[in-house]
Amino acid sequence: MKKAINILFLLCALLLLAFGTTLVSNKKVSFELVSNIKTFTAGNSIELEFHSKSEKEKPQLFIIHSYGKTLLDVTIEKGNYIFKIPENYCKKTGDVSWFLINKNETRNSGTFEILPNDATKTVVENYLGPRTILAGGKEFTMMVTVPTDGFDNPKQENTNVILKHQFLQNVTNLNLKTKDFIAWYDIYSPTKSGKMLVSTECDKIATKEIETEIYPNIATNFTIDYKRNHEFADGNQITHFTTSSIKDQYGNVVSDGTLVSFLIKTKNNLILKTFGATINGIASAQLLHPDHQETYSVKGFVTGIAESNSITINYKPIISTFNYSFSNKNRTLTVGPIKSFMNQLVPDGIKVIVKVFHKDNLVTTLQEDTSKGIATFELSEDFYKEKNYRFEITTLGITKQTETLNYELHK
Amino acid sequence: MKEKSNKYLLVALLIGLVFHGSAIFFTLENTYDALIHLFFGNHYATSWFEPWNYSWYTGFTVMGYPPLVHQCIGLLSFIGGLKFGLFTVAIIAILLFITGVFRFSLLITGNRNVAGYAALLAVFSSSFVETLHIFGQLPSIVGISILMHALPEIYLWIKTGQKKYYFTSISLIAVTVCSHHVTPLFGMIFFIFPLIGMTVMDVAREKVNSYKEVTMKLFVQTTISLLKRIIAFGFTSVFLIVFCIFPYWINSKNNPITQVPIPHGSRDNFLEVTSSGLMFFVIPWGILLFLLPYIFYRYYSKRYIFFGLSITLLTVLGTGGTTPIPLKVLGENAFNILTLDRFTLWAAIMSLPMFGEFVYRLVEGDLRTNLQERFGSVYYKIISGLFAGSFLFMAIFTITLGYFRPFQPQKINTLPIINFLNQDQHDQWRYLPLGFGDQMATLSYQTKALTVDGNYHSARRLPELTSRAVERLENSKFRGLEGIGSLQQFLTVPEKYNLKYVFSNDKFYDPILYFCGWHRLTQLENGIMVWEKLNVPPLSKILPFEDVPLYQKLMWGIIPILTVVIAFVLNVQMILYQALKLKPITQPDFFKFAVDYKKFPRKLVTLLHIWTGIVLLIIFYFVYQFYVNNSSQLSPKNVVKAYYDAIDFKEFEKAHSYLDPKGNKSLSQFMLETAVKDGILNSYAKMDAIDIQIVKQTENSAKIIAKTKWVTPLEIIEKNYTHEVIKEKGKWFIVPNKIDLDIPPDQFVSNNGTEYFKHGRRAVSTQMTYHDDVLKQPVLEILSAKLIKYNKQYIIIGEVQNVDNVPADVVLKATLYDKNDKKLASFNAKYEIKHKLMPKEITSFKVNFEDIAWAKNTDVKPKTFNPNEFAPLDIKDNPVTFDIQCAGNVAITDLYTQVALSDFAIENNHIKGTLFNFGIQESTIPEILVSYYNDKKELIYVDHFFMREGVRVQRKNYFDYELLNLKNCKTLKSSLENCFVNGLANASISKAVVPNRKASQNEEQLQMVKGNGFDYIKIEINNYIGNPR
Repeated sequence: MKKAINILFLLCALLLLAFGTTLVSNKKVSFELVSNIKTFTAGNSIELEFHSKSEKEKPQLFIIHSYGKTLLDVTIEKGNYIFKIPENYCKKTGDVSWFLINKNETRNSGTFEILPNDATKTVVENYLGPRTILAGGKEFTMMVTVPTDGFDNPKQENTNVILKHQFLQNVTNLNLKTKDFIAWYDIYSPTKSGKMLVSTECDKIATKEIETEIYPNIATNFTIDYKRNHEFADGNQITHFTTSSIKDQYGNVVSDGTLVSFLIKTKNNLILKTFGATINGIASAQLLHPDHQETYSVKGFVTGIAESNSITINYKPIISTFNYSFSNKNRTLTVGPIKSFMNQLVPDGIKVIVKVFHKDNLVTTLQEDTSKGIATFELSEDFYKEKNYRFEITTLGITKQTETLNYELHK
Repeated sequence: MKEKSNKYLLVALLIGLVFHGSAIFFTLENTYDALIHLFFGNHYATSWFEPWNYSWYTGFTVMGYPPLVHQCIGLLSFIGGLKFGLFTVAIIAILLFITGVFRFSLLITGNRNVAGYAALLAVFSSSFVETLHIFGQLPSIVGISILMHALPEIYLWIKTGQKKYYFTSISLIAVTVCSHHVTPLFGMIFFIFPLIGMTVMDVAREKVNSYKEVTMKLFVQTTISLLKRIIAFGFTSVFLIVFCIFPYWINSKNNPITQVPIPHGSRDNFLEVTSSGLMFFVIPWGILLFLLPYIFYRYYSKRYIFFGLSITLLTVLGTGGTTPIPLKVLGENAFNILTLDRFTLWAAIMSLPMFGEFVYRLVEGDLRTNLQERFGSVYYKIISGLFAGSFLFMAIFTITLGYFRPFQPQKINTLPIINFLNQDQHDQWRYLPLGFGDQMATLSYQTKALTVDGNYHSARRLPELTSRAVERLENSKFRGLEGIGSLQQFLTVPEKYNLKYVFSNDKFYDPILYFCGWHRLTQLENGIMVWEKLNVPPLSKILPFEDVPLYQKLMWGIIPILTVVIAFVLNVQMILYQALKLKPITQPDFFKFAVDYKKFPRKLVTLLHIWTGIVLLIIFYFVYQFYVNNSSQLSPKNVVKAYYDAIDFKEFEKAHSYLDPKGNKSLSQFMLETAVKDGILNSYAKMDAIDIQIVKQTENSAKIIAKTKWVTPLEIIEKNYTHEVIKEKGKWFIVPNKIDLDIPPDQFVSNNGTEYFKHGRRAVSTQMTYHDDVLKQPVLEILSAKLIKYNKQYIIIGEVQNVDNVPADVVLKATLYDKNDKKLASFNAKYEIKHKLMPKEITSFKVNFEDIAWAKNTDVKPKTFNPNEFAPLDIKDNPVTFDIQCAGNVAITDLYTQVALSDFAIENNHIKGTLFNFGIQESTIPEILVSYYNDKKELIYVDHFFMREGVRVQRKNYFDYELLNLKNCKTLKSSLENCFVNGLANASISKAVVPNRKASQNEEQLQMVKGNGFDYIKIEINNYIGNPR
């Protein structure tokens, strides 16, 4: 029986202990901030000190910082509760909110600000873009500068920044003030092409130079000219076309490599083409002489942008007529020797075209190149089985018609 | 009785080791498969338990191939590197094979001498030599060797029922399963079933006095009495086949091989494709072909009857497509997946015991007596000598085949490529090797960089690959339309695969690379050309992969090696006892059934003679056919064919020898003429077909039209050549053609031009350049963009101008949308655009929407090759809107513009023109872009064609192009609304750079042509420089 009472007593004591604790904690403890500093400088250590009547509490400090949120544990010194803000948090500028939490309840809260540390070495970051712009003042490149303190915190508003840019002989200094952490400036392109160097300076710290290329603007109309060895249409010389130095509206020579298309219109309104890319504004292109009397009208284009004058080039025929003969029972047709303008033999490779007709129907078209002024056509019996044929011979733009020739056939 | 070591076996092992062990160092790396196994070995060496491999095919799982051999290579690589692993495994395989044949032969014949002979013959058997030294199929060799080791154990288990045999046999089966999956599956049917039959036969035989007395009834009774053991063994082995490589089966189920079958020579009709017949029938059978009657005679004796049936089936299946039987037996699916040469391999291996027996009888047995008595000893000596000689000849012929006819491109030094990939973060993109052969595997295991290609085609995953019979992109030129078609899809839209670099070991692919917008970067010191494509994003840091449960990874990593350990522990005792003769062991049961070789059947000798005669006749017939068809100057047709063959293989001296010696064309003149010809037909074409027609033939002369068909990387070219041929002194010759007489205007030419260079990064630093050295993207302006419908296809066309001051590389991607703005299709401009533009240059463009060809099973595949053909995307909804994303990047090469259109004519709906090259580079392949305009001078269509010959410096070349009929070409929408350049709206660009565009200038340049559905055309020239100087 006594045992049972003892057990009951112990059980009661246990119950008391279990529920008794809730009674004590109802008392609220208040914490007061000891020093009410609202601003700190980045890089210095930051401590928040609280005073409380109760010395046996274990409060925590919840802080919201631009690096993130965290809970700090307390250290107790001389009866005061001290929270040390972590070192890396101290280096970063911005607003910090804090909440003192004791036993899951907020007991106190407040904010403070960390400011950039001007005592540290200034660092300047700058960005420039686009890196190529067109001359003429319509396009601009934007310089953005971010001066920071040694902890990479942007400097305070209205910090002075000197922006320097050089173009040709001009060096320009501009005083800017930071706003929203940055100082920026749009540098509009000059009318000349060239290279522009830009740098900035803040607190006697300078950046390295950054460059932007000012490209010439689009081409304006230009003129063209031509050059050739002789004026004859021998199909074997080259006519060179050149443009004047192509410039934009500000007088800058267009970029090297600008493609100029030369459009050549023949007397039959057929369009031929040749191309040239500019060097120092001058594009040159070449075209083979025609192999017959021809008049070319030539015009250059930077298509959609600029064009040239139109020039006319005449090519004189090198022959007025030519000879031909049949041999080997009319089975061999020899054209030539074809003589050129000085009575010399034409260059090798002149095209001779022979159209073969039978009773006014085109049978076939033959083509041979001349060698030493002569082109030879073999009319094999195996292929030309009809009794008679008529021929039309064309070379260097001149066409001759033969009589109808009779062929013997022996089977 | 104490048994002596078998001297034949010892000799066989020694010779085998010396012969194969030294030869593999010269052959193995040039085989088809060895490097693939090396690659897999490397996978296990680096990530043993992780089956996912990113290196190939945008990632694949190695669970598609039984791992044992690869894991062994991987394990051994820790001792002496990967190659050490490969060669060690190969040497082990050789030893296993020779001993395997010995044990198998011993089982079959019960005679140690015969088995020794068989082992000796196995060393030089051409099927083994071919499998090892030409195909490099290590897993297959290991698999069949272990299976042969298992056979005696299986026999003894079924016959005696001793438990130790049960365990040894199944332990070996497990190793077989882990090394090669096909071997145990078919080994069950072709080796184990007949073996069980033979065992039952032997047990039945013991109950009576001779095999003659074994009746059907007795056989069935015996079978029933042994059924328990057979079933126990059968079930265990089926279980092992499933269990040991369980992840393999799961993987096969999840990723069934739904690919289009890849043609394999072993499925050819060997009579038609004689090269396949040689590789897959004549070589593996080798000298055994002469002995077929003996082999069949022996295997069809009552004891071996089941082996007889099995070898018959194997022989027939091995004939591939020659007879229709394999297709019927295997079914369409299996026929197209399996390579049928393995059946011949097994048949040849199965023949080895009988071959050994035959040779034993020939050398020291009754056949010798028979021959000597019947034909005298001289004949015997000659016949044996010839026989031995041809046997060795076959072995040497097979092993040196790779030397005389290389199967692979010359060995590539991969080091410069590895260095290139490690440089400058080049391995952040995928790469693609072209023309590497199987050496691509070597490259893959040496670099971290990934490729879209791969060399284990069962693991291909991209539909672009699986829907076509393309083994590898790397050798796509050998796969005709499908190969080039697949390749061009990868090259046109490389950003889809993060593919930025192509390593080209074959000039053939250069034009397709250029015209797809790639450019040459540099030639590495090993001669490999690096091609680069701009505007391709790097690979993302996290790549997708298919995970498998942990238990599968563990099974895959542990079981195979475990089977080897268990098999070793179980079998090593026996082997040691046998080898070292430590303790007398009882002779296994099969020794009881050895036959005495007392009297060689007389009729069989006669039959063998007749058979040899028949085989020789067949050989002579083929040799004669070969001579008649290839004797080049026997007929007019032959000489023309031979001439073009020689031209095709660039054997110009040979080609010249077919020209009429009276034609006064010296070899040097001929060489000169060939050398000055360049262009797609002369430098990048492979002859596909030639049809020779005789127009007229007399006794001594003929006129012939050769209709040739050439495969080029860009299109198929058909060209007809007319030739006169004459007969002189019994030989036919071609009368040489006339040469081009045109003379260039100037002897000496000077030229000025703008050239470009860009620094990658100016500071020597591996730091990523974010800001300083990044070039601004050149500004392009889209001048017009249209959605058109032509021939039932939706096409986007337009014009784009480089309005910047630097040359631009243009990537142009168009996308179609339906009325609900749902994306329908997207593709890049391919051939119809100039990918590199000078400042202010204009190009027309066209975007076709290509589908993955034959993605559907219902699609009919074209039989002939046409790389130009493509599969138009089947667009279900009507496209209503489109957008164009155009990106410019600074280009510095391939900007040649110095080719002029110097003459022009319009005749009968054809345009004929002359190009004149006034620069100092040879335009190897000029491409003509023809843009069509309507009467309002609005663009309606863009077409292209490639000139067949290049334009040399200061020379002319002619083209002839047939104008299209555009009556049914409809413009659906013309709008610049959704056009973007470098991510910016096109409208903002046109306002900024050329605000007052003079549209009339473009219009002024159009050529008036009265055509079908169009009124004007414009011609642009895009020059591919094959060999820039």
